[in-house]
Amino acid sequence: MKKRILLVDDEAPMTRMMRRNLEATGRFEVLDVNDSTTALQTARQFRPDLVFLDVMMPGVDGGDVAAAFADDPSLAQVPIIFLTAIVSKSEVKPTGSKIGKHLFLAKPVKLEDLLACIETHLGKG
Amino acid sequence: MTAPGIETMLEQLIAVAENLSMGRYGDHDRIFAMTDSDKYHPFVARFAEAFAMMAVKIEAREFRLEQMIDDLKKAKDDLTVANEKLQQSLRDLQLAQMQLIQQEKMESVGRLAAGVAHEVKNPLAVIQLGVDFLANQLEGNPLCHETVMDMADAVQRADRVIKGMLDFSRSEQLELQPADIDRVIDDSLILVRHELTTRRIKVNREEGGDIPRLMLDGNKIKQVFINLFMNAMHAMEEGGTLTISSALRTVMSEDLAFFGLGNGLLATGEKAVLVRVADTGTGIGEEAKAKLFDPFFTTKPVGIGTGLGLSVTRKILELHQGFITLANRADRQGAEAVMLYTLFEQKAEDNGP
Repeated sequence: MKKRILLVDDEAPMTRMMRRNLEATGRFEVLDVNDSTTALQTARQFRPDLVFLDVMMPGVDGGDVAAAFADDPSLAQVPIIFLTAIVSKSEVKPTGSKIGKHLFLAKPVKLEDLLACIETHLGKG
Repeated sequence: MTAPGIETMLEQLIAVAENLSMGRYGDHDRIFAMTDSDKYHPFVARFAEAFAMMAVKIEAREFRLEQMIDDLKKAKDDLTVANEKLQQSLRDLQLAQMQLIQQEKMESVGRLAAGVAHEVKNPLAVIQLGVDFLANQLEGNPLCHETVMDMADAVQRADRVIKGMLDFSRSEQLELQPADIDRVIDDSLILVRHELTTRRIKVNREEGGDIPRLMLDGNKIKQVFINLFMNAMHAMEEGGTLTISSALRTVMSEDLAFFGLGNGLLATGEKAVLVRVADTGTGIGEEAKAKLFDPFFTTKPVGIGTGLGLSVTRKILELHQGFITLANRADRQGAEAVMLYTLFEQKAEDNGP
Protein backbone atom coordinates (compact mmCIF):
# COMPACT_ATOMS: atom_id res chain seq x y z
CA MET A 1 0.00 0.00 0.00
CA LYS A 2 1.30 3.40 -1.01
CA LYS A 3 2.23 5.86 1.74
CA ARG A 4 0.28 9.09 1.69
CA ILE A 5 2.21 12.35 1.70
CA LEU A 6 0.65 15.77 2.14
CA LEU A 7 2.46 18.83 0.78
CA VAL A 8 1.60 22.27 2.15
CA ASP A 9 3.27 25.24 0.46
CA ASP A 10 1.78 28.48 -0.85
CA GLU A 11 3.84 28.15 -4.04
CA ALA A 12 2.02 25.87 -6.45
CA PRO A 13 5.08 25.19 -8.66
CA MET A 14 6.93 23.96 -5.58
CA THR A 15 4.29 21.43 -4.53
CA ARG A 16 3.79 20.43 -8.17
CA MET A 17 7.49 19.62 -8.55
CA MET A 18 7.54 17.68 -5.31
CA ARG A 19 4.42 15.76 -6.27
CA ARG A 20 5.74 14.81 -9.71
CA ASN A 21 9.00 13.61 -8.20
CA LEU A 22 7.39 11.61 -5.44
CA GLU A 23 4.72 10.10 -7.69
CA ALA A 24 7.37 9.11 -10.21
CA THR A 25 8.88 6.74 -7.65
CA GLY A 26 5.58 4.82 -7.66
CA ARG A 27 5.75 4.51 -3.90
CA PHE A 28 3.62 7.41 -2.75
CA GLU A 29 0.17 8.90 -3.00
CA VAL A 30 0.64 12.65 -2.92
CA LEU A 31 -1.76 15.52 -2.33
CA ASP A 32 -0.78 19.18 -2.44
CA VAL A 33 -2.35 22.12 -0.70
CA ASN A 34 -1.46 25.71 -1.60
CA ASP A 35 -3.90 27.47 0.67
CA SER A 36 -2.75 26.85 4.21
CA THR A 37 -6.15 27.74 5.68
CA THR A 38 -7.54 24.51 4.18
CA ALA A 39 -4.61 22.34 5.26
CA LEU A 40 -6.23 20.97 8.42
CA GLN A 41 -9.51 20.12 6.69
CA THR A 42 -7.71 18.41 3.79
CA ALA A 43 -5.44 16.47 6.14
CA ARG A 44 -8.37 15.11 8.17
CA GLN A 45 -9.85 13.61 5.01
CA PHE A 46 -6.57 12.53 3.36
CA ARG A 47 -5.05 11.05 6.55
CA PRO A 48 -1.39 11.45 5.50
CA ASP A 49 1.48 9.32 6.79
CA LEU A 50 3.82 12.30 6.50
CA VAL A 51 3.50 16.05 5.93
CA PHE A 52 5.89 18.45 4.24
CA LEU A 53 5.14 21.92 5.47
CA ASP A 54 6.42 25.28 4.27
CA VAL A 55 7.25 27.67 7.10
CA MET A 56 6.57 31.11 5.68
CA MET A 57 3.10 31.28 4.17
CA PRO A 58 0.71 34.22 4.08
CA GLY A 59 -2.09 34.19 6.66
CA VAL A 60 -1.75 30.86 8.45
CA ASP A 61 1.96 30.02 8.54
CA GLY A 62 3.68 26.66 8.93
CA GLY A 63 3.92 27.00 12.68
CA ASP A 64 0.16 27.58 12.94
CA VAL A 65 -0.59 24.58 10.74
CA ALA A 66 1.72 22.35 12.82
CA ALA A 67 0.05 23.55 16.02
CA ALA A 68 -3.41 22.79 14.60
CA PHE A 69 -2.28 19.29 13.57
CA ALA A 70 -0.85 18.68 17.05
CA ASP A 71 -4.19 19.62 18.60
CA ASP A 72 -6.11 17.20 16.37
CA PRO A 73 -6.06 13.65 17.81
CA SER A 74 -6.23 12.06 14.34
CA LEU A 75 -3.17 14.03 13.13
CA ALA A 76 -1.07 14.60 16.27
CA GLN A 77 1.19 11.60 15.59
CA VAL A 78 1.82 12.36 11.91
CA PRO A 79 5.45 13.38 11.36
CA ILE A 80 5.88 16.87 9.96
CA ILE A 81 8.94 17.99 8.06
CA PHE A 82 9.37 21.69 7.66
CA LEU A 83 10.69 23.10 4.42
CA THR A 84 12.11 26.55 4.77
CA ALA A 85 13.92 29.06 2.62
CA ILE A 86 15.37 30.53 5.77
CA VAL A 87 17.63 28.07 7.44
CA SER A 88 18.03 29.43 10.91
CA LYS A 89 15.51 28.20 13.45
CA SER A 90 15.59 31.59 15.15
CA GLU A 91 13.78 33.02 12.14
CA VAL A 92 10.78 30.72 12.43
CA LYS A 93 7.81 32.63 13.88
CA PRO A 94 7.34 32.67 17.67
CA THR A 95 4.63 29.97 17.36
CA GLY A 96 7.76 27.87 17.46
CA SER A 97 7.45 25.86 20.67
CA LYS A 98 5.53 23.10 18.91
CA ILE A 99 7.86 23.25 15.95
CA GLY A 100 10.72 22.21 18.19
CA LYS A 101 10.48 18.45 17.74
CA HIS A 102 10.08 18.54 13.95
CA LEU A 103 12.78 18.27 11.34
CA PHE A 104 13.76 21.09 9.05
CA LEU A 105 14.88 20.87 5.44
CA ALA A 106 16.38 23.89 3.78
CA LYS A 107 15.23 24.96 0.33
CA PRO A 108 16.43 24.25 -2.28
CA VAL A 109 16.18 20.60 -1.32
CA LYS A 110 17.44 17.81 -3.56
CA LEU A 111 15.21 14.87 -4.40
CA GLU A 112 17.67 12.43 -2.83
CA ASP A 113 17.52 14.34 0.47
CA LEU A 114 13.76 14.44 0.29
CA LEU A 115 13.61 10.68 -0.21
CA ALA A 116 16.18 10.03 2.51
CA CYS A 117 14.11 12.11 4.89
CA ILE A 118 10.93 10.21 4.05
CA GLU A 119 12.78 6.94 4.55
CA THR A 120 13.91 8.03 8.01
CA HIS A 121 10.33 8.60 9.06
CA LEU A 122 8.41 5.93 7.16
CA GLY A 123 11.04 3.29 6.47
CA LYS A 124 11.66 1.79 3.01
CA GLY A 125 8.14 1.38 1.73
CA MET B 1 83.23 129.62 21.96
CA THR B 2 85.95 127.73 20.18
CA ALA B 3 86.74 124.64 22.24
CA PRO B 4 85.74 121.96 21.94
CA GLY B 5 85.44 122.88 18.35
CA ILE B 6 82.14 122.39 16.63
CA GLU B 7 83.87 120.16 14.14
CA THR B 8 85.08 117.75 16.84
CA MET B 9 81.59 117.68 18.25
CA LEU B 10 80.00 116.91 14.92
CA GLU B 11 82.63 114.18 14.40
CA GLN B 12 81.51 112.64 17.68
CA LEU B 13 77.83 112.90 16.77
CA ILE B 14 78.51 111.31 13.40
CA ALA B 15 80.29 108.41 15.12
CA VAL B 16 77.38 108.00 17.57
CA ALA B 17 74.83 108.21 14.75
CA GLU B 18 76.71 105.49 12.85
CA ASN B 19 76.74 103.29 15.94
CA LEU B 20 73.03 103.92 16.43
CA SER B 21 72.30 102.93 12.87
CA MET B 22 74.07 99.63 13.50
CA GLY B 23 71.98 98.98 16.59
CA ARG B 24 74.72 99.79 19.11
CA TYR B 25 73.29 101.80 21.97
CA GLY B 26 76.39 102.11 24.23
CA ASP B 27 77.19 105.71 23.28
CA HIS B 28 74.43 107.54 25.13
CA ASP B 29 76.91 108.84 27.75
CA ARG B 30 78.96 110.61 25.11
CA ILE B 31 75.90 112.48 23.85
CA PHE B 32 74.62 113.22 27.34
CA ALA B 33 78.01 114.82 28.07
CA MET B 34 77.42 117.28 25.24
CA THR B 35 74.10 118.49 26.65
CA ASP B 36 76.02 120.41 29.33
CA SER B 37 75.44 124.06 28.22
CA ASP B 38 78.22 125.25 30.56
CA LYS B 39 80.82 123.37 28.56
CA TYR B 40 79.13 123.48 25.15
CA HIS B 41 77.51 126.13 23.09
CA PRO B 42 73.82 126.26 24.12
CA PHE B 43 72.77 125.61 20.59
CA VAL B 44 75.02 122.55 20.44
CA ALA B 45 73.76 121.45 23.87
CA ARG B 46 70.15 121.70 22.71
CA PHE B 47 70.98 119.77 19.56
CA ALA B 48 72.79 117.11 21.63
CA GLU B 49 69.80 116.88 23.94
CA ALA B 50 67.38 116.36 21.03
CA PHE B 51 69.79 113.82 19.56
CA ALA B 52 70.05 111.99 22.88
CA MET B 53 66.26 111.80 23.21
CA MET B 54 66.05 110.36 19.72
CA ALA B 55 68.70 107.74 20.50
CA VAL B 56 66.99 106.67 23.71
CA LYS B 57 63.59 106.44 22.01
CA ILE B 58 65.03 104.40 19.17
CA GLU B 59 66.56 102.01 21.66
CA ALA B 60 63.25 101.72 23.55
CA ARG B 61 61.33 101.14 20.35
CA GLU B 62 63.75 98.50 19.19
CA PHE B 63 63.47 96.76 22.54
CA ARG B 64 59.68 96.77 22.25
CA LEU B 65 59.91 95.48 18.68
CA GLU B 66 62.12 92.59 19.78
CA GLN B 67 59.64 91.73 22.49
CA MET B 68 56.80 91.76 19.97
CA ILE B 69 58.79 89.53 17.64
CA ASP B 70 59.37 87.10 20.51
CA ASP B 71 55.65 87.15 21.34
CA LEU B 72 54.74 86.58 17.72
CA LYS B 73 57.18 83.70 17.43
CA LYS B 74 55.70 82.09 20.49
CA ALA B 75 52.16 82.63 19.17
CA LYS B 76 53.21 81.07 15.89
CA ASP B 77 54.66 78.04 17.65
CA ASP B 78 51.45 77.66 19.66
CA LEU B 79 49.44 77.86 16.46
CA THR B 80 51.61 75.24 14.80
CA VAL B 81 51.04 72.87 17.71
CA ALA B 82 47.30 73.60 17.74
CA ASN B 83 47.16 73.08 13.99
CA GLU B 84 48.98 69.76 14.31
CA LYS B 85 46.44 68.67 16.92
CA LEU B 86 43.57 69.74 14.67
CA GLN B 87 45.06 67.82 11.77
CA GLN B 88 45.29 64.73 13.97
CA SER B 89 41.68 65.16 15.12
CA LEU B 90 40.64 65.52 11.51
CA ARG B 91 42.47 62.34 10.59
CA ASP B 92 40.85 60.52 13.53
CA LEU B 93 37.44 61.83 12.49
CA GLN B 94 37.96 60.80 8.89
CA LEU B 95 39.00 57.33 10.03
CA ALA B 96 35.96 57.07 12.31
CA GLN B 97 33.71 58.25 9.50
CA MET B 98 35.20 55.68 7.12
CA GLN B 99 34.60 52.98 9.68
CA LEU B 100 31.01 54.12 10.19
CA ILE B 101 30.34 54.15 6.47
CA GLN B 102 31.88 50.71 6.16
CA GLN B 103 29.78 49.43 9.05
CA GLU B 104 26.63 50.92 7.59
CA LYS B 105 27.44 49.35 4.24
CA MET B 106 27.92 45.97 5.85
CA GLU B 107 24.67 46.21 7.75
CA SER B 108 22.63 47.14 4.70
CA VAL B 109 24.20 44.29 2.76
CA GLY B 110 23.25 42.00 5.64
CA ARG B 111 19.63 43.13 5.63
CA LEU B 112 19.47 42.89 1.87
CA ALA B 113 21.02 39.43 1.94
CA ALA B 114 18.44 37.99 4.29
CA GLY B 115 15.58 39.32 2.18
CA VAL B 116 17.08 38.27 -1.13
CA ALA B 117 17.95 34.83 0.24
CA HIS B 118 14.34 34.02 0.98
CA GLU B 119 13.07 35.32 -2.33
CA VAL B 120 15.70 33.44 -4.32
CA LYS B 121 15.66 30.15 -2.44
CA ASN B 122 12.01 29.44 -3.27
CA PRO B 123 12.43 29.60 -7.04
CA LEU B 124 15.73 27.72 -6.68
CA ALA B 125 13.86 24.98 -4.84
CA VAL B 126 11.40 24.67 -7.72
CA ILE B 127 14.21 24.50 -10.27
CA GLN B 128 16.16 21.98 -8.19
CA LEU B 129 13.23 19.58 -7.96
CA GLY B 130 12.31 20.15 -11.60
CA VAL B 131 15.86 19.29 -12.60
CA ASP B 132 15.83 16.19 -10.39
CA PHE B 133 12.58 15.07 -12.01
CA LEU B 134 13.88 15.61 -15.53
CA ALA B 135 17.18 13.90 -14.71
CA ASN B 136 15.27 10.74 -13.81
CA GLN B 137 13.02 10.96 -16.88
CA LEU B 138 15.96 11.52 -19.21
CA GLU B 139 18.26 8.79 -17.98
CA GLY B 140 18.06 7.04 -21.37
CA ASN B 141 19.28 10.13 -23.21
CA PRO B 142 22.88 10.88 -22.20
CA LEU B 143 23.07 14.33 -23.80
CA CYS B 144 19.84 15.54 -22.21
CA HIS B 145 20.76 13.92 -18.92
CA GLU B 146 24.14 15.64 -18.89
CA THR B 147 22.52 18.96 -19.75
CA VAL B 148 20.12 18.63 -16.87
CA MET B 149 22.93 17.68 -14.49
CA ASP B 150 24.81 20.86 -15.51
CA MET B 151 21.68 22.77 -14.59
CA ALA B 152 21.63 21.01 -11.22
CA ASP B 153 25.22 22.13 -10.61
CA ALA B 154 24.25 25.69 -11.46
CA VAL B 155 21.44 25.59 -8.92
CA GLN B 156 23.83 24.34 -6.25
CA ARG B 157 26.26 27.14 -7.12
CA ALA B 158 23.55 29.76 -6.80
CA ASP B 159 22.57 28.22 -3.50
CA ARG B 160 26.16 28.51 -2.24
CA VAL B 161 26.14 32.22 -3.00
CA ILE B 162 22.88 32.61 -1.10
CA LYS B 163 24.31 30.62 1.80
CA GLY B 164 27.31 32.94 1.87
CA MET B 165 24.98 35.93 2.01
CA LEU B 166 23.02 34.38 4.85
CA ASP B 167 26.22 33.60 6.73
CA PHE B 168 27.16 37.20 6.29
CA SER B 169 23.85 38.55 7.54
CA ARG B 170 23.83 36.14 10.44
CA SER B 171 27.37 36.43 11.62
CA GLU B 172 26.24 38.58 14.57
CA GLN B 173 25.42 35.50 16.58
CA LEU B 174 28.49 34.01 18.22
CA GLU B 175 28.92 30.97 20.38
CA LEU B 176 32.09 31.72 22.29
CA GLN B 177 33.99 28.90 23.96
CA PRO B 178 37.50 28.76 25.38
CA ALA B 179 39.61 27.32 22.57
CA ASP B 180 43.16 26.65 21.54
CA ILE B 181 43.78 28.67 18.38
CA ASP B 182 46.40 26.20 17.13
CA ARG B 183 43.83 23.42 17.35
CA VAL B 184 41.34 25.47 15.34
CA ILE B 185 43.99 26.19 12.70
CA ASP B 186 44.93 22.52 12.43
CA ASP B 187 41.29 21.43 12.24
CA SER B 188 40.73 23.92 9.44
CA LEU B 189 43.83 22.66 7.62
CA ILE B 190 42.48 19.11 7.72
CA LEU B 191 39.34 20.28 5.91
CA VAL B 192 41.35 21.63 2.96
CA ARG B 193 44.12 19.03 2.99
CA HIS B 194 42.79 17.28 -0.09
CA GLU B 195 42.66 20.53 -2.06
CA LEU B 196 46.17 21.43 -0.94
CA THR B 197 47.61 18.10 -2.06
CA THR B 198 45.83 18.22 -5.40
CA ARG B 199 47.21 21.69 -6.05
CA ARG B 200 50.76 20.71 -5.02
CA ILE B 201 50.82 23.21 -2.17
CA LYS B 202 53.21 22.56 0.69
CA VAL B 203 52.16 23.54 4.19
CA ASN B 204 54.65 25.18 6.51
CA ARG B 205 53.19 25.31 10.00
CA GLU B 206 54.98 27.45 12.60
CA GLU B 207 53.47 27.11 16.05
CA GLY B 208 54.36 29.77 18.55
CA GLY B 209 54.47 27.57 21.64
CA ASP B 210 52.46 28.39 24.72
CA ILE B 211 49.51 30.47 23.59
CA PRO B 212 46.82 31.07 26.23
CA ARG B 213 43.32 29.95 25.34
CA LEU B 214 41.09 32.42 23.50
CA MET B 215 37.33 32.86 23.55
CA LEU B 216 36.33 31.74 20.05
CA ASP B 217 33.35 30.61 18.06
CA GLY B 218 35.21 27.60 16.70
CA ASN B 219 33.00 27.12 13.63
CA LYS B 220 33.16 30.75 12.61
CA ILE B 221 36.92 30.94 13.07
CA LYS B 222 37.28 27.76 11.04
CA GLN B 223 35.28 29.53 8.35
CA VAL B 224 37.80 32.39 8.57
CA PHE B 225 40.77 30.08 8.08
CA ILE B 226 39.14 28.09 5.30
CA ASN B 227 38.36 31.36 3.50
CA LEU B 228 41.96 32.47 3.84
CA PHE B 229 43.34 29.08 2.80
CA MET B 230 41.06 29.02 -0.25
CA ASN B 231 42.17 32.54 -1.22
CA ALA B 232 45.80 31.50 -0.83
CA MET B 233 45.20 28.41 -2.97
CA HIS B 234 43.53 30.39 -5.71
CA ALA B 235 46.55 32.69 -5.74
CA MET B 236 48.91 29.71 -6.18
CA GLU B 237 47.64 28.02 -9.34
CA GLU B 238 51.17 26.73 -10.03
CA GLY B 239 51.60 25.27 -6.55
CA GLY B 240 53.62 26.85 -3.76
CA THR B 241 53.92 27.07 0.01
CA LEU B 242 51.26 28.03 2.50
CA THR B 243 52.78 29.27 5.75
CA ILE B 244 50.68 29.53 8.88
CA SER B 245 52.26 30.93 12.02
CA SER B 246 50.80 31.77 15.40
CA ALA B 247 52.41 33.51 18.36
CA LEU B 248 51.65 35.42 21.51
CA ARG B 249 52.70 39.03 21.12
CA THR B 250 52.89 42.29 23.01
CA VAL B 251 51.23 44.96 20.89
CA MET B 252 53.62 47.65 19.66
CA SER B 253 52.86 50.97 18.03
CA GLU B 254 53.93 49.67 14.61
CA ASP B 255 51.30 46.92 14.98
CA LEU B 256 48.61 49.57 15.46
CA ALA B 257 49.84 51.33 12.34
CA PHE B 258 49.97 48.05 10.40
CA PHE B 259 46.35 47.28 11.25
CA GLY B 260 45.31 50.91 10.71
CA LEU B 261 43.93 51.14 14.23
CA GLY B 262 43.06 54.43 15.87
CA ASN B 263 43.26 55.05 19.59
CA GLY B 264 41.04 53.06 21.89
CA LEU B 265 40.52 49.81 19.98
CA LEU B 266 43.81 48.36 21.10
CA ALA B 267 46.66 49.83 23.11
CA THR B 268 50.38 49.24 22.98
CA GLY B 269 51.61 46.90 25.67
CA GLU B 270 48.46 44.73 25.54
CA LYS B 271 48.78 41.04 24.76
CA ALA B 272 47.40 39.59 21.55
CA VAL B 273 47.77 36.46 19.47
CA LEU B 274 49.18 37.16 16.05
CA VAL B 275 48.29 34.70 13.31
CA ARG B 276 49.74 34.92 9.84
CA VAL B 277 48.55 33.08 6.73
CA ALA B 278 51.05 33.64 3.95
CA ASP B 279 51.17 32.31 0.40
CA THR B 280 53.73 32.32 -2.39
CA GLY B 281 51.19 33.35 -4.99
CA THR B 282 50.62 36.23 -7.32
CA GLY B 283 50.19 38.89 -4.63
CA ILE B 284 47.52 41.57 -4.36
CA GLY B 285 47.10 43.94 -7.28
CA GLU B 286 47.20 47.68 -6.68
CA GLU B 287 43.59 48.24 -7.79
CA ALA B 288 42.31 45.44 -5.55
CA LYS B 289 43.89 46.72 -2.34
CA ALA B 290 41.21 49.22 -1.33
CA LYS B 291 38.30 46.91 -2.12
CA LEU B 292 39.47 43.64 -0.57
CA PHE B 293 36.95 43.67 2.24
CA ASP B 294 34.02 45.04 0.23
CA PRO B 295 31.07 42.69 -0.03
CA PHE B 296 30.78 41.14 -3.52
CA PHE B 297 34.25 42.26 -4.59
CA THR B 298 36.12 39.40 -6.18
CA THR B 299 39.14 38.92 -8.42
CA LYS B 300 38.27 35.30 -9.04
CA PRO B 301 36.64 34.00 -12.21
CA VAL B 302 32.85 33.95 -12.30
CA GLY B 303 31.59 30.91 -10.44
CA ILE B 304 34.65 30.56 -8.23
CA GLY B 305 34.35 33.49 -5.87
CA THR B 306 31.22 34.97 -4.37
CA GLY B 307 33.05 38.09 -3.26
CA LEU B 308 31.79 37.57 0.25
CA GLY B 309 34.64 35.58 1.78
CA LEU B 310 36.75 38.43 3.07
CA SER B 311 33.89 40.67 4.16
CA VAL B 312 32.49 37.77 6.19
CA THR B 313 35.98 37.03 7.49
CA ARG B 314 36.52 40.57 8.66
CA LYS B 315 33.11 40.69 10.30
CA ILE B 316 33.79 37.49 12.21
CA LEU B 317 37.12 38.89 13.41
CA GLU B 318 35.42 42.11 14.53
CA LEU B 319 32.89 40.13 16.52
CA HIS B 320 35.81 38.46 18.29
CA GLN B 321 37.35 41.87 19.03
CA GLY B 322 40.04 40.90 16.58
CA PHE B 323 41.60 42.51 13.55
CA ILE B 324 42.67 41.40 10.11
CA THR B 325 44.64 43.02 7.37
CA LEU B 326 45.85 41.78 4.01
CA ALA B 327 49.01 42.85 2.28
CA ASN B 328 51.74 41.73 -0.01
CA ARG B 329 54.58 40.10 1.88
CA ALA B 330 57.57 42.23 2.80
CA ASP B 331 59.82 39.73 0.97
CA ARG B 332 57.61 40.17 -2.14
CA GLN B 333 57.03 36.43 -2.45
CA GLY B 334 53.24 36.61 -2.30
CA ALA B 335 50.45 37.89 -0.09
CA GLU B 336 49.67 37.43 3.56
CA ALA B 337 46.71 37.81 5.88
CA VAL B 338 47.68 38.94 9.36
CA MET B 339 45.25 38.67 12.26
CA LEU B 340 45.25 39.79 15.87
CA TYR B 341 43.13 37.94 18.39
CA THR B 342 42.61 39.72 21.70
CA LEU B 343 39.75 37.94 23.46
CA PHE B 344 41.60 35.79 25.98
CA GLU B 345 39.79 33.34 28.20
CA GLN B 346 41.23 35.06 31.26
CA LYS B 347 40.26 38.53 30.13
CA ALA B 348 36.74 37.40 29.26
CA GLU B 349 36.35 35.94 32.75
CA ASP B 350 37.54 39.16 34.35
CA ASN B 351 34.94 41.11 32.42
CA GLY B 352 32.29 38.49 32.96
CA PRO B 353 29.51 38.50 35.52
